Amino acid sequence: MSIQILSAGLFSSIQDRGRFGYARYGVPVSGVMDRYSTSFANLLLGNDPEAAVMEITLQGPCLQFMSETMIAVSGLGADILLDQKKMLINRPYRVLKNQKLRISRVTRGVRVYLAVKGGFQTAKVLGSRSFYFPLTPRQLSKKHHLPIQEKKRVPKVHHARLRFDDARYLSKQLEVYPGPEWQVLSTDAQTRLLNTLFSVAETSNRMAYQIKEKLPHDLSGMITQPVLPGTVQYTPAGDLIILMRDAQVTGGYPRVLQLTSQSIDRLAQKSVGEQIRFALKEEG
Amino acid sequence: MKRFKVPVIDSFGEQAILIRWEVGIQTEFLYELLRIKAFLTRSFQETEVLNTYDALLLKYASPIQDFKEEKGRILQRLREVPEEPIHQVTCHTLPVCYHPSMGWDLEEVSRRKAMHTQELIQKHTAPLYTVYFQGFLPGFLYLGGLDPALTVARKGKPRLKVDKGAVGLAEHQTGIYPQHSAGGWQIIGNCPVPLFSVDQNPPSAFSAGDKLKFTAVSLSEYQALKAAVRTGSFTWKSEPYFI
Repeated sequence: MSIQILSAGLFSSIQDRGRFGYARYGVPVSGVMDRYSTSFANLLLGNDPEAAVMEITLQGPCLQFMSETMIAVSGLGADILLDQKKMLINRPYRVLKNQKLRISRVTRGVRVYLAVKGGFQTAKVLGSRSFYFPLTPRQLSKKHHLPIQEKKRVPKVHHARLRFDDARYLSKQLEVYPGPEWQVLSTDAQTRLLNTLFSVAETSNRMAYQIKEKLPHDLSGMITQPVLPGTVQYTPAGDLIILMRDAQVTGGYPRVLQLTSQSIDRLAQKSVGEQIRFALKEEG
Repeated sequence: MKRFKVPVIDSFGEQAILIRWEVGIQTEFLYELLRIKAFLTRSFQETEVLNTYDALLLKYASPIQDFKEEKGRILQRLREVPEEPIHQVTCHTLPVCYHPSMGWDLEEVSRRKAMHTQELIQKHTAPLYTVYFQGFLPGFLYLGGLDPALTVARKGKPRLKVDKGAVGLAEHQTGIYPQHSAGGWQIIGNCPVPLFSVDQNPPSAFSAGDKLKFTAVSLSEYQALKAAVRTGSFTWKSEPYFI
């Protein structure tokens, strides 16, 4: 029971909710960048919301199914073909043995998620199936074999009425909590951070999103401290770095803001050049 | 026992709480912190407790429903930490080859510090270092105890590839790259011992609070150790150490 990879796409990987309990060894959490889309895809199939999915970035893979199963691709938009037939995003489909799935490109947002019935059954490394190099391969390639669960009978599709909530991604606004060093910033610097319209830089990836605009500040350096996915670091040069799922577990730059979990999802779907603005949420 | 001030407790995102003492880098405080950490780890079973130099991070498995209530629980626990100082840790002795073929910046750093390379190696192998925590990369050890005479700025331009095992200097720190990585540290040698492996449980043999010594080995000894590591027949010296 498996899926064969005919071509892997630009950057595809298997991800679940990530590694819990290994940060003390310096191991990043990893896991899906956009949790809402992932849960949605899993929900369509009646999976555990944390079941492992394939995270697909901009250009997708071409896959062949070696057994019958059910699948769903979730996210904001993608061109998907099942054999030669167009397939809709955010809908469950039955797939027959030998059928080919091609996700040629992500048309809205940055990432879409492919879920299969029961979740991908690739090997767990330190308690998780999430790819993170060098604990696992960096990304999927043709040589990977993707085991899936055997299903004697594939149940009828019956979740067609669930609606994917696009609205949660539309805003430029990223809701943030004050970070551990927020209070150390001058009121002026705080105001500027909240009133500037920023844009996503090209160097953004699973580890961190970078901001194009530089904003000078008066913070001094600090000793290395814990950081999390969603932590906004402010470098001495005035660069802003928003840590994402593959972020290291400690960092030495002031942690001025912390994204809400929903804002991490939202940012994960912003492309290079897209605008963002921080909106402070008082103690939640 | 010296009393440290009451920490600041803040939420950090929806699923974590940060406890800060803000005392900076002090070996004495590290063992106090680790004593508190051990107790909180026992008290908050579903929670991952991490330490840095002077802070603890509690990572919860699910979002915290009521932060004020949780903070109250933590404050209560902090008052109950038993007076059992940590008195035994592990001392690891790791071989390092300081041959110029691996210690790419050894000569330049020696020149800049106006010391003979032998003197630099002697100053690097003399101290008993303390493992504060792991971060940066899986298995990377944040070590305290570098001789201030070896303080050196990072390279102006980071290298795109630093070898696994590379031993480096940067500011007041020394460390070992646990994997191939880009990096700006001044590289003075290489340690053949793998620091992190997903095939072992736990993946790292080092714990916060452990002690570490470097011992210089020749190029031929290094090659023999590398071969022994490959066949799995090498373990480094690790012995109990009493604080």
